[in-house]
Amino acid sequence: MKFWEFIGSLDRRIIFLIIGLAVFIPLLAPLKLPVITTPTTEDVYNAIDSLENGSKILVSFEYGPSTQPEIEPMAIALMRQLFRKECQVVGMALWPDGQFMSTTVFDRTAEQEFGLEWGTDYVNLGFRPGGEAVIKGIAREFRANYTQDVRGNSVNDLAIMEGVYSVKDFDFIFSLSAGYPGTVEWVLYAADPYKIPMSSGTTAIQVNEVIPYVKGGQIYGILAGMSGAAEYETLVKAPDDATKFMDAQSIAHLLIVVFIVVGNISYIVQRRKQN
Amino acid sequence: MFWKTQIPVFIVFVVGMLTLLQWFIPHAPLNQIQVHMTQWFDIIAVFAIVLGGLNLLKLQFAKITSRQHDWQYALVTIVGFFVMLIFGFTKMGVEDEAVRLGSHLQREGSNFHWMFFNVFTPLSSTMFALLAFFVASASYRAFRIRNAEATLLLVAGIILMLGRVPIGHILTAWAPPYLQLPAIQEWIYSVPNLAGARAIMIGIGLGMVATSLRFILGIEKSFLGGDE
Repeated sequence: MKFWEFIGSLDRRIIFLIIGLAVFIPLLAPLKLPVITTPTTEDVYNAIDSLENGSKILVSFEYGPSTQPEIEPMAIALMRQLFRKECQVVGMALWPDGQFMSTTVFDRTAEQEFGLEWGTDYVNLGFRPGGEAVIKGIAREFRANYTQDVRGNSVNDLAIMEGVYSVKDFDFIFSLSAGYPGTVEWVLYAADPYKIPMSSGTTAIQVNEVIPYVKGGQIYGILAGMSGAAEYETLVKAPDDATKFMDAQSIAHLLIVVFIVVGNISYIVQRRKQN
Repeated sequence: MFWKTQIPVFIVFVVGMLTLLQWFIPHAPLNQIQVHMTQWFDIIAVFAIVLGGLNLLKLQFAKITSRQHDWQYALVTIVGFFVMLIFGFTKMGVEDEAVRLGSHLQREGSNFHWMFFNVFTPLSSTMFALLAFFVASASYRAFRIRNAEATLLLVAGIILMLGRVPIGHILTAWAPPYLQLPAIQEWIYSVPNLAGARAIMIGIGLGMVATSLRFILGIEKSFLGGDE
């Protein structure tokens, strides 16, 4: 009985230490657990795979440094799939720090991996304040809301923007979202009213909010958190950070479940004792 | 009364009606008015940063002057605010003179860029990463099977946590496909969870329609502040 009392009142610093080790050790010595893809991730991959080569894609970055480890792996895998299909990618951000996130992703993929040309193959238009008002604005008149890219070039001088006057001129929208404004606003004000195909990559916690739109057919699939990113990396055949992080996440989740079970056994034992 | 109540209510009525009507009459001039109004909204949203900044300074200065608990952190906030403001409005650290003000924020080497990636990013990531530790500790202490509803929540939570990661697949690889953890978690997401999420969304939607109409018709005046 004393054992379960001890377990029930375990110092939280011990729990912190165990969780820390459970995350840290698999990062140093990867277990290489197999990543099994799910239908929602396959839907995202297939939707992009079915696009014609050279399609114009609008990618919106709605995340910041706090959710970067979860969303950035899917952003990088997305760019790899798009650039392999020679798609023209226009980046924008509804979050102020999304502009920095997009710059990091474009630098790593478009510039370093693919050696693409700014303004012709891809461009980063950066952040505009206003949330859903920005989406509504570009849905009608893109150039009234975005007059220049993050390097200060006029949108009218960019080859990639030729023929782009509203969001309807894009073949596909992809929202990389960690909250508001994000995927839901893109569905409500652009993708659904103007019938533009759309997919999304979100944090695990946001999936619950977005899944009704996925199951309703308004969004083609969803990359759900780190596991969704790892599955997508597998489909794109470019395992990277998310695949590495899945080992740590697997062990951490398992450990939390063990904590819950042990905590409940302790609770039941002590309750019986009291009764 | 006229300037503080009736004029703002009238503006809300006109703007609200114009915004509402353009959904039902998507033709000139209503659709053009909507384009302009979204731009006005963008401009007003930009000015909101000034209000936000001033409010932040007011609160933090008040904390310092009245020597409230942990007032030293307020000092750090104010210093951080002004440092980033100066780095944002000057091209400090950028050697290339051709780089325009604004574009320098993205330029590697600028002080703003350095601060964002070397101070703000690690701090934000650290704060978010701490969640893992607190979630583990909280679930250990608070996630108890006190009644049937709590037990249901706990079982669903465990299935979701394990079903979303590779180890869930390994643990139940011996079972028929429909009894494996990833399949069960997919079912939970797609059926009971989806039904609940849709019900909540419909409820929120109806609430938003009712509240918007109250604002447009001047019944709800809480945006004016005070006791209105």
